[in-house]
Formats: sequence, C-alpha cells, structure tokens
Amino acid sequence: MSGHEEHKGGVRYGMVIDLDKCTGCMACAIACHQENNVSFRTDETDKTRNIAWMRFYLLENGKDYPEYSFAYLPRPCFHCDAPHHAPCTFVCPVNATQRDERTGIVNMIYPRCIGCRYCMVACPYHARSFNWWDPKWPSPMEEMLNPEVSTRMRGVIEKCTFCHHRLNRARDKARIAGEDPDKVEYTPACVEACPTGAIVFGNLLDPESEVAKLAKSSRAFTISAKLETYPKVYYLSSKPWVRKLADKGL
Amino acid sequence: MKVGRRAFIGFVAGAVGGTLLSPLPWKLADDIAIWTQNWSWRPSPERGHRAAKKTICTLCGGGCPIEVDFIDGKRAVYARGGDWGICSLGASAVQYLYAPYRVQTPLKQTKKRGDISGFKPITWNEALSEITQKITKLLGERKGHSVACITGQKYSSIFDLWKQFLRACGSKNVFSMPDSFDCQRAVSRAIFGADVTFGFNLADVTCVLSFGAEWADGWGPRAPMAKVASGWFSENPGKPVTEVIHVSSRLSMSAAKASEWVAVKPGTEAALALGIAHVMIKENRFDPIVREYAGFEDWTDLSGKERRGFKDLVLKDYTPEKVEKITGVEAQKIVEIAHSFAKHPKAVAIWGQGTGGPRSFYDESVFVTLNLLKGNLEKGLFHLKGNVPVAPLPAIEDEVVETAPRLEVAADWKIPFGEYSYPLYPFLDAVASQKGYPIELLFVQEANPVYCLPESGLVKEAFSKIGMVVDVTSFMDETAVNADIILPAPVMLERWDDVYGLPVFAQSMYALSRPLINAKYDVRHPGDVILNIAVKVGGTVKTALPWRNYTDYLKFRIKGIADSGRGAITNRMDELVSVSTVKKNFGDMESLWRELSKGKIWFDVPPSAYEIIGTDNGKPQFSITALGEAEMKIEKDELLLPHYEPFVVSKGSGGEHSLLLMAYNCGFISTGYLPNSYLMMKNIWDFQLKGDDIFVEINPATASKLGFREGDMAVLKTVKGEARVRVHVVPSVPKGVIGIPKGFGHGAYDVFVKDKGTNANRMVEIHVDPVTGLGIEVVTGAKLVRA
Repeated sequence: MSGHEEHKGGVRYGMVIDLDKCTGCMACAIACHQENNVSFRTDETDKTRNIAWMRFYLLENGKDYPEYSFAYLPRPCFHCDAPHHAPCTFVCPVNATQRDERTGIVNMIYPRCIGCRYCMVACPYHARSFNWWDPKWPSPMEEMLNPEVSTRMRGVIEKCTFCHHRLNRARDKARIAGEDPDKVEYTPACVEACPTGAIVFGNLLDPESEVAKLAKSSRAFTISAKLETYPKVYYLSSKPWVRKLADKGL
Repeated sequence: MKVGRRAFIGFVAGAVGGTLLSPLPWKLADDIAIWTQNWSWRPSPERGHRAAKKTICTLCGGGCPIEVDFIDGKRAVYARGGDWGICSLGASAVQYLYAPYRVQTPLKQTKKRGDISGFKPITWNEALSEITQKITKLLGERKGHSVACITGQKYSSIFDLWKQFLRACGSKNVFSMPDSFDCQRAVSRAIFGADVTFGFNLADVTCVLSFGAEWADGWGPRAPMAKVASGWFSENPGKPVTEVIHVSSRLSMSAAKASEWVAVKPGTEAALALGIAHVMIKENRFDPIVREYAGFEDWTDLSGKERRGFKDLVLKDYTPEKVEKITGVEAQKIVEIAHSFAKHPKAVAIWGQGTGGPRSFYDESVFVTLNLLKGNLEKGLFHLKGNVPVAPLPAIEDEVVETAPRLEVAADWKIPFGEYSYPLYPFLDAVASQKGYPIELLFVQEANPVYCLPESGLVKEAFSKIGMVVDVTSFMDETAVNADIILPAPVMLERWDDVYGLPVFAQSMYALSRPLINAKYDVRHPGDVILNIAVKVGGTVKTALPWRNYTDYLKFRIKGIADSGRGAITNRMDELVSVSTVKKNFGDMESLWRELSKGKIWFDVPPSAYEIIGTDNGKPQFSITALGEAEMKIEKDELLLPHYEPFVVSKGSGGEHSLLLMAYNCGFISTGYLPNSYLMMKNIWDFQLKGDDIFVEINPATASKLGFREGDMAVLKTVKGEARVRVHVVPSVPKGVIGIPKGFGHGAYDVFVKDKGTNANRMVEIHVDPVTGLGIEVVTGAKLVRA
C-alpha cells in the first residue's frame, strides 16, 4: 500500500475515489476551492494556466457512437508516499513543500516558495498550479474568504493540502479535550461535498478504516503506478477500459 | 593617521563582532523576513471563530439540509450538505450571497427598456407606490385580468400567494418556469382522474429503465438523486447492483453511468417504450390487473362509438420491427430490453428530457403505462404523490372584480388539459401576437425567462408588448435588464422560505429555510412585496391577503400541517427517499415551526393510490376519456390512448437546415435562475468553452462530411437564429446531430459569465403540446457552415 515503511506516526491519510459512483457534478471541486480560497479569473478555460486544486480529467473508451463511453476523473494532489520524498518535495530547492511524515500529507509553505516551478515539472499528475497573477476577488467577495487558509500571491505554487487546516483544527480540539491528537479523524471539503459518497478519506494504515479496505479492493488502482510514486489517492472502477487508461497517466 | 593591515583587520573584526553582538542584524533579518512575507496586495481575511448554522437549501426544488460556516457569525465562508452531500449549486450558496451582480436597491428604468444605463435608484415607497397606482388604475378600469406573473418558485408557498394576489385582482395569469415534471398533473388527470404528480421508490428497485431522465445531469433534486443513484451501483450483501438502462440519443453522463445505454433517434423514446410494452403484452409478461383498467381492451366512448384498446394498438402498431424503423434500435434488442424489464421484480420506468423541460402528454402517458404493466402501483414502486397539508388560502370574499379567463383561453387556444399545466408558451404567444387582451403589468419573481426559456426570441417579443414589467429578483440578470422596475430580493441565507421538496421521490416533503445572516442590502422578501402592495391597493386585494408579513403567512401554512396530524419530522435523509411508515412526532404549530426552523424536515408516506384515483371505476384507465369530454374532434382512436406521436422539425426553406440541433443540460452547469457561480465557471471543460467561444458536439462522421476538425470555428444556423461556435468532434452524438450545452451565453451579470459562449435557448425551436400547451423542446433543424 505505502512505499514509505518507516512512518513516524501511525497515520497515513489517503483517499479513494470511486469512478463508478462519480457523476461529475463537480461539487467537490467547488467545495474545495471555496474552502481553500482558490482564486478565479474572468477566463478559466486555459487549463494550463488556471488554478485548480481539484481538477477533472476526461476518460474516453475510444469507440464510436453508440459504443462510445466516457468517465470523469477528479484529481486532487496524490500526496505521493514514495520513500524519502515525493517527486515534488525532492526537487524543491527551498523546502517550501515537504511531506509531514507523521501524517503523510504533502504541504506547501507559500512564503518560502520562490516560484521556480521545479515541483510543477516534477509532479507527474499536474497537481500543482502556479500563480501567474495576484489573486483578486471582486468586491464584496473577499468577505467569503476562509481565514483558516491564507491566500496565495503571484509567483508561488499552490495545490491540494487534504484540507490540512481541518486536521489542525481537529488536533487542537483533541488536545483541548485531553485526547490523543494523533488519532483524530477529519474530513476534507471535497469528501463532505460529494453527494454520491464516491470519495472516501481516512487513515490508510488503519486496517479497519473504510479507506484502507477500499484501497485493497479488486477495483482499486492508482494512476501511473509504474512510476512508483506511491500515490495515496486510489481510484475504483469496474470498467476495464478506465483501469487501462490509468497506466497512461493524466 | 596611517592604518596598517593589522589595524584594519582588527577594525573589521571588531565591527563584525560588535554588529553581531548588537540586535541590529537580527532585527534587519527579521524585518526583511516580515516584509517579504507581507504581501499587502494579497487579501488577508479577518480571523474569528468559525461555526456552522443549519438551514434548508432552496436553490432548486430539492429542499436539502445544509450547513453554512460563519466567521464570528458575520461572514459566510462555506456551505456543506448533510447526509446527502451537496450539489454544485448548493456548494456555491456563499458566492451567490456575495455576488457583485446583486441588486442592492429598488431601481427604475428611465430610458428605453433594455438599456442598463437607464436604471436609477428609487426608494421602496416610490417603487411600491408606482406599482400600486398601476394596479389601482387597472382595477378601476376593470382590467385586473391584465396583471400577470411568472414565478421561478413553484415548489414554495409563494406560488399560492401569487395566485391569491392575482385572483383578488381578477387575474388567473399565474405561470411558473418549466421543468421536467410540468406534464405530470395532466397525465395523472387523464389516467388516474386525479390532479397529482408522480413519485418513485427509487431507493428500492432492481431495474431502472430511464427514458431520457438525465438523473446525473439535473433530473430531480440533484444531491438526493445522486445519493440514491450511488446506491444503485453499490453492491452490498443481499443487494445486487441495480440494472440501469438508459434510453436517449446523446451520451450524457447519465447514459455513461448506466449499465446499458440504448441509443435511439431523437424524440423516439416513447416508441421504444411501446415496443417494450408490445413484447410484454404479447408474451403475457405483465401484471394481469391491467386487464381491469378501462381502455386496455377495446372500449366504447361516451357517444357509443367503438374504440381500439391499448392492447390492440400496441400489438398491431408497435411490433419490434415497426419500432426499429422509428427508433433505430434493432428489433432483437427491443425484445431483450423488454425481457430484462419484465423479469425484474422491482423495475420502474422513469422519464425526462435532456433539455430539462417536460415531454409531450402522449410520451409521458406511454411511460406511465409501462409502470402500470409492471404493476408498480400495487408494488409500491410508482406512486401518486400525496399533497402537503398546508393550510389552504382563504376564499376571496366580496369579489368585486370579475375574473376573466386566462389569456391563452381568451386568445382562443384550445388546450384540453391547460388547467393542469400552466401553459406558458401559449400565454407568451398571445402576448406577442396581441391576441385576447393586452397584459398591462407583468410580475416576474426570481425567474429569468428572457434567458432561460427556449425560443427566447418569442419571450423578448412578448416582453416588448407588455405595459410594465416588474422584476422581483436578487440579481441583475437578463430579465431584470428588460424590466421597468426592479425590486431587490434577499438571497437564500438571508430569508425565510418554505419548500415542497423532492420531486421524483414518493414521499411528500416540506421544509423551512431560515435566514442565517442579516440582509446585506436594502431588500425585501418577494412575499412581503406582495403583501405590501396588497395593503396599498386595499379593498378586496387587502382582505384576501390578511397576513402582516411573509413569516406570518408561512406560520399560517404550517398550521395546516400541524392540524392535519399527518406525517412526521426527521433529520434522517434516508427516511425521505424510501417508503416506510410514519408516526406523528410533533405538536402544535409553534412546536412544529421550531423544529422545522432547526433544519428538520416534515415528510409523509404516499397514500394508497386507490384513495386518490378519481376515475369512474376507481381504477387507472388507458382510455383518455377526459380528452373526449373536452370535446376535441377526435377521430383517430390512438389519440384517445397513450401512443407515440412523431414531431415535425422545421428545416427551413428548401430543407437547408438538414442537421438536428439538440441542446442538453449538464449536472455541473446552471441553466436556471441562478447563473454559473464563479467557481462553477472554473470547472467548465475546455472542450465546452474556450475563451468566449462555445463548442458544439458533432460526430466524427459529420465532421468528416462537413470538413471540420477539432476546434474549428463555424457558424451554427437554425430557423431561430445563428451563432459563432467552435466544433468539438466527439462520438457522443449520432451522425447528423449537433449537441449544444445550455447555461452559457448570458447577456447580463458580470464579466465572469457575460458573453461566455452562446445561449442555446435562442437557437432552439419549441413545439407546443396540443394537449397540455406546454412548450416541448426536442431537436431543431440546423446547419453548420465554416466561419
């Protein structure tokens, strides 16, 4: 399951996305971007330049009408669990992106980022976006910004964090309650938004957790497994052509 | 003084040492670190305590429980769903609250209608006085019937308030914006003799046969429907995966998710259903109870004339071979689908239209008969929905104004079941062609007919013939731009509302949406606007609406539920979609109000169909005798039975529009009153919109024939209009068909949605259903030429 055998903690947060259930309503992406203050511009149709923490990819079976079929694949950051480093953390010259070995979450420290974009190049899943412009919200939309997540500025990289500010909140709450902060459970925004229950999140190291069980399902696969980046985001599909496309990357 | 090497080194070392010992370098480093991380141009939201408040979402007819997170109770930052998750609209609730295109104060048009620069702020008193003067003048001239309303909230008590208000003025011209379920009451009236809608027990089925019901693309309440559908594809011990067969022309998400997609020629789904019925009847694989239903066998009409029965019609006219010619589905495949549908103990037929509107009366009658053949009324899979027992509105006493017939009736439209369907298109046609009588005052409430209605050219023409248009809206949308007076309404989160939720599902449901935050602008609830005007008009109008404010009116309505003793309240969503028994668990009106205000939902199981059926023999009927009673000149027997009625496509002069344009809805695009939110626009595929260019889908064979490649610019022409588009070559549509997404091409709001693509509604053609008067959108003749 995980490429990283020497975990400092007993927690490895991961996600399973059931493509058989996903109807592509994209509520997960809206919830994610709302929760994490992801900015928007007047033209969001250039997908090489826009910022999306949860991005959708189109999978097609390559056949003609009426045998044609397609599926949507929601893609957060995969928080790769390759030994020592994720591809992005390995190349960062300033330690602006690191993997928290107690949780497995690959985080971003925006003020440290120097905008070299090595991590964008290194990420095989295009999970990172670069801020080509300063973020602006038309008045009065700044009122809806979430104070738990800092806004990012021009020149830095950003990406999905598994809503780790929610983890921090849950840990704080546990400490106040006198409980073990390392055993908390929390739910990222995309997971709680999904109306079909297609996204499941939890501790991959807990064999009793739903996410761990699903990750071992016969329908489970990861994207570009041959790269041995050990993504902690698994996908489920019963369709062979969908599973086959997983080897081709995103 | 001579400085030697030793002295210099000593000085430098001393300076370095002294500096390091002083706080200066550390202070400077600290300041630089702070300065480089202090991006003053970057928004830095004010910190505070984050806590959630519960309410009910009213952005569609779903009535889903939601929680909204606030910072210190003042700023809304995030919306989440309950057990059902949330849909893309609900997740955008906060964006609509803070949208810059909200109307902030009453506005009056001072220039020509449609000129956005002509709007000047006025006070509420000025706005309401002007409207009141208009109504008073019309009442004085005995022209109260020339007041009309189009509301976007048919699943709310405000719909009845508009009816009461206009009735007191002497008008019956109240209409709602169309949706997939508009035809159901008319079909129910014909087959069951009851004025009700239908519901399905979709959580407990083993087979779903969907005729264009795009359940993953906006059919029914979005989040609950998605939740139920996910259950279809979950394999649990003792519960196999539900077989979902989707019948449509275009490969939608619903079709792609189905166990099997059956591609038919556009608009021929009902013919396929009749082919399936043929196999079931021929092989005697149907519930024998239907033999007792009038019209199944040959029958005699009121005049004593012998008529064909449904069985004879289906057996002779809809053989698989004949249906193959109509639908393009192979006869053997039709037999296989019929066998699959027949063998499942719990199989339902559902239906809808990819465009989001209703289907024709006969189409929907056919789909109902499939459920009858399966015995789904008896099995509890197909229901006649019970009403929500809200208090009925009081009778209008001292009615001094004679109520004139509805406009389309006055304009001589013959619509037998128009009473059950709110025929908006005949109304608009009568206004545009100035038949019947003129409409002097039109209220539009939280609807955007200028943008949302197909054949928007007709809508604009009708608007140009109306004396005064008053738009009660939260947003500066296309209809607001074309209004004379705009009255700003609060958005969801700022107001009380109620919702009769869950169309599609069998349970009756009622919920209250409470305000979570003070209104941001100088707004008034549309219900309060009605009540304010009623007080100013006085007389019968005032006495017909005796409530001080809209909240009082809602309490009055809820008292009806409390007094009925029916149903129960719950916060468990699974109870709302699966049929069970209920036990009353609430007290009087005050306690019910309190519970509903906390986000609980009232619901009731559907009554026995036989308590509702109002036909002569108390059973469903295949023979549409109500149509005969309506004195239609009917000679063909099939017109009195559910059957397939082909439609005619306008192909322009000389048949130049030989392609078929098919508009479609997507689950992640808003096509209604609300525009795509800012974050919804972020998600739009780059093969649907590129810059400001919209893409149309064409099959690779069509592209090859016309010489188009992916991304080429083209001009799309129909009998209704033309637009510049880009071409997306994809086999989701058959040869000869052009697919165009709805929800783009707004002419209002702000730069984030305005002029992004083309509004498909201005390109498509509407067929007015002769039985219900509803506008039916299927396909439109079109051509695609190189730009």
